Amino acid sequence: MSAKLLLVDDEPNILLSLDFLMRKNGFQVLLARNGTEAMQLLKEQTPDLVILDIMMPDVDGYQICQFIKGDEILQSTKVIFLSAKSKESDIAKGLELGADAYMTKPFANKALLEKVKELIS
Amino acid sequence: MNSFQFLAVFISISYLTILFLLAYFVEKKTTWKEYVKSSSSIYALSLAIYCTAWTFYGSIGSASKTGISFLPIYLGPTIMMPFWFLIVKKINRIAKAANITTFADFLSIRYSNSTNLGMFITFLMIVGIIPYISLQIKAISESFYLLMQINHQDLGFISSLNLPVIVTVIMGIFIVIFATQKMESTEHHSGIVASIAFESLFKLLAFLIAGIVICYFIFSSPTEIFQKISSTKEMSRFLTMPTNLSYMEWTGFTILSGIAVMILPRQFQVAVIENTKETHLKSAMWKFPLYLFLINLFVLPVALAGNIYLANFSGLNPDYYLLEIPLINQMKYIGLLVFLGGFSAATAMIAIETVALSNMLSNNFIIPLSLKFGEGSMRDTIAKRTLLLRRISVIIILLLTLIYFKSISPLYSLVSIGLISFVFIAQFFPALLGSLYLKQSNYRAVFGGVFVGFCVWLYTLVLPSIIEGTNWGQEILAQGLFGLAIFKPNALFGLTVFSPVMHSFFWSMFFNVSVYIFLSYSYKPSNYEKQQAHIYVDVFKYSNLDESHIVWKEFAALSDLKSLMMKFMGEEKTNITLNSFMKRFGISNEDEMTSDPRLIPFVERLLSKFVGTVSARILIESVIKEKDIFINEMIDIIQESKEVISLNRELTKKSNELKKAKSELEHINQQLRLHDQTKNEFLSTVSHELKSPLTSIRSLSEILTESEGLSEQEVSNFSSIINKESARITRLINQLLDLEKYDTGKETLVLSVVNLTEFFEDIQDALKAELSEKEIELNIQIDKKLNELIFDRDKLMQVFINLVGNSIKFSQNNTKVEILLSKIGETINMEIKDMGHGIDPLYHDLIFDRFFQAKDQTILKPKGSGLGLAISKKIIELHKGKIYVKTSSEKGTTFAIELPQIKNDER
Repeated sequence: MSAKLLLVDDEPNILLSLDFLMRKNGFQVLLARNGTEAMQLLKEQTPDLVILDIMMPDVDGYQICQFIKGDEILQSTKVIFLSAKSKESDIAKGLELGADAYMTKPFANKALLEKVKELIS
Repeated sequence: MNSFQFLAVFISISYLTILFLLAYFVEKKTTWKEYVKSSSSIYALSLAIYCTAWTFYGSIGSASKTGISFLPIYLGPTIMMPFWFLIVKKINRIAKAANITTFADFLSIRYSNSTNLGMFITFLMIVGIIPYISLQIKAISESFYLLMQINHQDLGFISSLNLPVIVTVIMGIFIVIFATQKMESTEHHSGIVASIAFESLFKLLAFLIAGIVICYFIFSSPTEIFQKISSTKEMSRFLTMPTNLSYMEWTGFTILSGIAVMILPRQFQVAVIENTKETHLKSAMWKFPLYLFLINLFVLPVALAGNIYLANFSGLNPDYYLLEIPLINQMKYIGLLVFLGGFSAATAMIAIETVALSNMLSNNFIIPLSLKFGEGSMRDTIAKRTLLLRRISVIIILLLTLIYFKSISPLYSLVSIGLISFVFIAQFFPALLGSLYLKQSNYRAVFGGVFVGFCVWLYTLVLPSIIEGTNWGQEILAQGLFGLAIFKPNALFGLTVFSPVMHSFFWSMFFNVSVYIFLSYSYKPSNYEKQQAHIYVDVFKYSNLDESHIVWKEFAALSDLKSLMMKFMGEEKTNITLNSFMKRFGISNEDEMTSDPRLIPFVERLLSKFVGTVSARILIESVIKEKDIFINEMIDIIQESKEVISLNRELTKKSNELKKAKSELEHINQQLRLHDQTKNEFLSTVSHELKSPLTSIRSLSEILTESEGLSEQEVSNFSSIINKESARITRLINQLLDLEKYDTGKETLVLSVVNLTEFFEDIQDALKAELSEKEIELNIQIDKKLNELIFDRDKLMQVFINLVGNSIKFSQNNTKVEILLSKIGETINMEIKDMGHGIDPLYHDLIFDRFFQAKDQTILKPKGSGLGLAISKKIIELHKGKIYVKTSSEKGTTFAIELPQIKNDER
């Protein structure tokens, strides 16, 4: 059974490209267009990995990551931050919160895919 | 011994007893003491010790020989009184502040090397003043014998009495009892002051009574005396200015007497040390000259009367005319009165002069010497010995007086000794004046000036008188030293126009002042002298010279200072004093007190009261551990105190300015930080806004190039997204550049006359796609009065497209957007109404901030850069108008724009 991914981004076109990319590579995909949707989905589903934007107007990526890492059911869920924030302090903060990887936008499809595969295996 | 002799002796003893009792009761009774201290008349009367036996008897003798030439001795003080007032007032201030006990104290503590200077001055004073004291004893004894020998009576056992010794011993007892009871030599001797004031009064009355008796009873009136005298050709010269007494000489004597009345030790003692109130000086300005006038009233008539008698009684001594004339006329009780008057003048002078000199001898000579060269134990026992040493000093002074009286004084007349002493004492005047007014003055100058003056005085005045009296060294007097005529003691450098006294005064002062001034400007004053000069010269700058003006910073262990104080004051008083010191300066503990710079000067001044300033300094120095190395700088600062004060004011001003500048800077800094923070936020928002479309573009273009088997629809869909996102980036960049132009003021309006109907048709065209997509109707209503308006067409078009675009974005399908234009007064009102879900009132102002929507947005993110409203606001503001959210509810939002109407000629 293929791994289930949750993709969270408030930019529709980024979400669209991520969705296409992941499905094309055989992953099951859940989409969230903002933080609120993501939290709702996480209460119902247990994705193997979450690709998480940070700067979102309602609930930001850090909060979602914190929720995942603090939730027992989501223990094995991996988190990749995918953000336009590229300052070292932002990256450090993300990793401190327990994220498994941090990638900056714009990203290379190949690199993202490799990271996803690496974390899931 | 007959009955009159017995009576005379008895009355003399009674008189002395009265003096003792007066002094005793004044010391005992507080009310009496307070009266003596507070009376300005008593102060003025005490100054009248200036008139000694020399005045009482001798001025008549002088007048009998040279007529009115005696007058300068009294005119001097009268004419010089204003100067006396100025100088003594200044001296008084300093003396009170520094607890000065003697003239030597006053002069020496002003300079470095004060111990040696004090000893030097004391030594000279004793040499110069002892003859003057012995002169009084001589007057007492001579007048007493004159009185006793009335009608050539047998002196009997009286002749076997050693009268000078008896008088001296009695005076010694008097002084020891009333002047050396307390250890503090600054303490006012009210008892002695009261008795000398009484004596001044008594001698004045005695003189006046005798004068009246001689002029109006023995002679019928003074006129008779003058007539008798003028009838003899030889005598008439007395009434005119003698030719051998030039006006210059008169002036000289006047100055000499004016100087003497200031610094004769007895005058210094009563005028300064015994002074209790500064205001007393003022009233003394007229009371003392009045006294001098009264006591001289009968000098000339009595002198002339005496000269008339001299024709018949060849054995008369002109010095004692006042006594002899009544005696010749068998008026023995008037004679007794005159004797007692002279006795008063003499004893008062002896008492005060001895007190002054013995204080000098003990405080400036014996105590410093024993402290310096005595063993260490001397310091510990000096307190106990202070009183004893002072009593010994009294005895030494009186003993020296007696010795002088026995061995040398028979050679001189009353007046000559007095004048010799005057010239001597004047040698201290340049130094005194310099100490008070010349900051350059230093101890070398004082030493040098006084020493040279003293030597010239010895050579030109003392030496000739010794030669005349002893017949020794006649050739020096006749031919000059080493046979050089220019060194003739009484005609130095060929100067012969003056009398011997004036000759000596002239040359001694000439050399004294020259050397003093030369040395003052050849040597720099030491730091100590600079400091003291500051205090002495500028004493009136300080209303109250106290511990707060101290500049020395020295350190001593508190225990050492305490034990020093205890030796003089006892433990209890020491503790009380130190406690009051702490209270006065708000010092809370002993550590703080030890380090307080005011403590040592405070203790030093306390000790000065007991042993004088010089000895006090030595005692203090013995316990001082270290001196602050900053003394130099401190003094330099103080020397330029005026500059410092103005500098301080300047500094305060500067520091206030700096404070203000600092707070301004802090404010600016804060704003900058805020600005910086805003800028950082802005930049990170911009980069986020740019990166978002870039991310889509990159990812999708990678998909397009790398993925195989994409459907045609997918390819076209992705390509169109890439296009849109690219356009979004371009738009964003353009808007950022626009904003930059508005911010920097580079953007200007391009005004034109715009037809409103056409303008809004163009807007509708531009938004056609959006409108039709959501099937929204755009309703435009323009006031009929409005047809054309002047504004920047392109820019306002941008505003409307942005606002209407937003309205469309947030509106439901199948709704309406309205544009309303009206004119109220000179203002054009434009409203854009939609039926969207409204804007939280919280955000009504914030939405015009850059990227606001990007920062805070509800669930679904609408398209847009987040800069549209910010730019719209800038454009409206450039038109001097306003843009704001007018109303907003769940039923819709109204944006309002108010534009001032631009007239055609304003373009």
